[in-house]
Amino acid sequence: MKAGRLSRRSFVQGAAATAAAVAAGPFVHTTAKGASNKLVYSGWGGAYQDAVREAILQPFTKATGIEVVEIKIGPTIAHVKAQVQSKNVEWDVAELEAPDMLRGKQEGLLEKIDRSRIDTKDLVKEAIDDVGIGCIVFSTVLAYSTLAYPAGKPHPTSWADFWDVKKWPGRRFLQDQVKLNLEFALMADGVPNDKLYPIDVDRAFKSLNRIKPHIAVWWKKGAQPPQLLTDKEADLGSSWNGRITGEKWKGAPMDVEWGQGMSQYQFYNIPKGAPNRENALRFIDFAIKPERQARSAELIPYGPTNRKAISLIDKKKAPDLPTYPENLKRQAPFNEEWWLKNEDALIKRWEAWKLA
Amino acid sequence: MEARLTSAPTTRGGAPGAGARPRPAARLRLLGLLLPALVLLAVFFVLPLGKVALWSLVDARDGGFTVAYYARAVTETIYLRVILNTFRISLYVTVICLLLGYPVAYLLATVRPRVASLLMIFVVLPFWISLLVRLYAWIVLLQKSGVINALLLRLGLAREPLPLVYNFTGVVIGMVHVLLPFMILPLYSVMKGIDPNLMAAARNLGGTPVQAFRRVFLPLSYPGIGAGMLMVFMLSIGYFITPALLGGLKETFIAQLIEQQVSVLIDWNFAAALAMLLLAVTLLMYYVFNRVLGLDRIWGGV
Amino acid sequence: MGWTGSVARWAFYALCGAVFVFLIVPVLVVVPMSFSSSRYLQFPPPGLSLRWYANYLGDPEWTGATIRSLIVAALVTGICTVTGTAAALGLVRGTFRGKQLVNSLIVAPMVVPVIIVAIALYFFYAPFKTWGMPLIGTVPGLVIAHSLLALPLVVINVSATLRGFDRNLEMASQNLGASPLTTFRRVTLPLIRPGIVSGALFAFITSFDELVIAIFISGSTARTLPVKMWEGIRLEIDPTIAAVSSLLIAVSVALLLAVALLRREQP
Repeated sequence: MKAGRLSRRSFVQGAAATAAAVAAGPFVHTTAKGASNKLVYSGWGGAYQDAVREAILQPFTKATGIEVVEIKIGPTIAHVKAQVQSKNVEWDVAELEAPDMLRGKQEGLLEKIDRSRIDTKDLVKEAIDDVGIGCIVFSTVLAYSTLAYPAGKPHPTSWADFWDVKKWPGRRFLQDQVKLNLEFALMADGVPNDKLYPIDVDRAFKSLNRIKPHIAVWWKKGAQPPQLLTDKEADLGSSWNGRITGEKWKGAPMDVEWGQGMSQYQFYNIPKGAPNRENALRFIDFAIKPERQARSAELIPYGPTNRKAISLIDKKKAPDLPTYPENLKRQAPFNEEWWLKNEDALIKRWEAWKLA
Repeated sequence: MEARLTSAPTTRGGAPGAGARPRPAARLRLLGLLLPALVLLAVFFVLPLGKVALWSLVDARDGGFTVAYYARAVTETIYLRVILNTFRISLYVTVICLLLGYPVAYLLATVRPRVASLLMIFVVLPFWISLLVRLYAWIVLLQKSGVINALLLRLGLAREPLPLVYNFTGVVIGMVHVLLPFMILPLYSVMKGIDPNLMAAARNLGGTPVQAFRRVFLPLSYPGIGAGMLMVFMLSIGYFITPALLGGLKETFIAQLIEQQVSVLIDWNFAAALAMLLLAVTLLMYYVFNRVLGLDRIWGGV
Repeated sequence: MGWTGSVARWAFYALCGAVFVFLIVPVLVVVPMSFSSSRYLQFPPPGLSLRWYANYLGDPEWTGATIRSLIVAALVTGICTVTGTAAALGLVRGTFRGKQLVNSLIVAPMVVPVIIVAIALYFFYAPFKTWGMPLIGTVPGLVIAHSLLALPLVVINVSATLRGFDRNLEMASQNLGASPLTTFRRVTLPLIRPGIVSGALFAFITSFDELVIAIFISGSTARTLPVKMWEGIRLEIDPTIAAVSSLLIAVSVALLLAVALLRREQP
């Protein structure tokens, strides 16, 4: 037990090295042949990444010969910051949410995208940034159970409807997040879609106070809303469109209302100092082509950012996408810049409001 | 054998009693036993955390020294409120674990070994359910359309589904379930070491079973109680996934706020200040708790 | 002992029984959920299927992550059991100033928010790659990180049993001429064994289930099981994780039953 510390440590080191070799050996996702033939892509895993793999990653490897190493932990700007500031950048392309990208831009954590290498002429303007190229659009919308509100009968179509518990009874859910809830609260209070910003925060919180007692579940993870609807735990609430529509495509009794939904973008970003920047640029150019985006949207209902992609999508599925022209028209625009400036203070106010 | 029945506190567990000073070689050996752990912690914990602690004193914009982050952490009341909220809920969880765990540990320590080993399976098995699955299992069980409410309605024990999840009840149930083994096992370990002859002797000297328990068994189990409470409390204040999924608006834990600062706002200097504040408050509480309750003598710190 | 004694005794058994039921109920939910035919975790499951088991067993990412987690947890348990038991002996038996400080140091890894520890370690580990001993994305890196979290649990458990320990037995052994090491081996160790075993179990589980630090430092080359389960969590819960838990439960029940049934009747 108390045998020399030295021999114990070297035994442990030896065992660890062997274990490392055994453990790491066949389970690296792909063999790297050298920095120039590799691309490390960091995405969100699950069904979304399965769709991306089929629509974009595998065709990319076939077209260019570049091996793609997949990371699936859901990249946040915190991961990028850790890598960049410790001078140990492991990722070449990270799919970041817009607010993460903007904060990364503020702190100089992302490479400037050389747009001469990427064909962006067909992209919507919101998808073009100095440090990122938008890849998908997802909307937070009013989702509802078609068991509670069957097709053909009326269903709630606005946040004012959602706030009206007498006219539209049912168990409700909202996201536990200050973002978007303030906008929904204002829309419920009568503010028009295009006059939401700058947000009248006091008015929004007053409106939220009215709905607060009627919310059964404040969800934290995107998987919860469809689960709540499936389990008949709730009848209507805010949700990300993709999962609801995805389940609807499989026959589940739920649907989304596009009116007054709000769209947010996800971007391809390159961390500063990424090892394979060349390949990253080639990848982005490849991934935003209309055929690639169309294929991805058919597999998982997030909207493409390339205007030419919509026409390539299966006619049965296109109307369920956030960027389908009819749907896009009815949504309210979301202002990332305003939130970048105000999120810090509002998170505090939100947490205090929760405890009140 | 007489020595055992009359053993004074000073010969139990702790440092040698008055009059028995350890020889220098023994002292060195004892300190040497601590060395591997201290080296591991010094190199891989103190050094890395020290750097992070320094961030809390450095202004992110210009790199100069500042206490502004600590000032913020203390004056923006939400953080202290949530820390108190965290401690409050954790205390509930700890006490409930003690009340439920003590009888079970006693049972395990006093039945035949084979029966104890079989019953131990109940205690150890839940460890193998990964956190996410476990939380979803509880949601499925506790929700309004869930199994438990269905049972209550069927048995006529409730007229309508009870709100058992997305609130304080849900969080406590979920956390007690995870942490109960951390109370049961140390209690069991200590109880196994309590000589059953002592209880028999107390009875023989005329005491009732309750007196024998209260005056002999209970004090001897204090180290187990201390260990269990310490582990359960310290582990529960660091939780954030469990309260996030099983709790409602009021069950916010401090780790969630710190996570927001780290992952969403990437204000790491402030996050570091919050973390150091939490560490200081917790250790202070630990120290005061030990001293005020005189627990130092009974179970001496760790 | 009159009827109050019997009532008390039955109440005691009832309470313990209730706690055992409480502990086991989620297991009774998780196992059926793992056979669910739908893409959701549903109970009761709408239909039965082995697809999630097939998904798990047929995917080297899943099985590899499991093996890696087992290896890391085993190493962490080994290191922490030895180091922690030694530290507990030193703490409980030793007299020196600054005990409270050492106590606090050992407990601190449990108290500092784990995401802060994760970032601190990431920065600390980063330069090791350039020195030829990468710690990010490797098993040694994970082992060290998890050991920090597991060590306090071992120390606390072993300390508790040491404190409840009658030192007269040790003194008797030494008076009979045994060396300190023999005394330790033959007298102390068997009596504090429940504490060591409990501590070892906690160390193993802490490492096996650890998620936050692993997300940062496991990279693409040392993915652990919790990290694998976490993938895609933003959008969905993969029922495969129920299958994984059920398999682990089955294996551990088998092992624990074997231990219980092979155990001799002597206490």
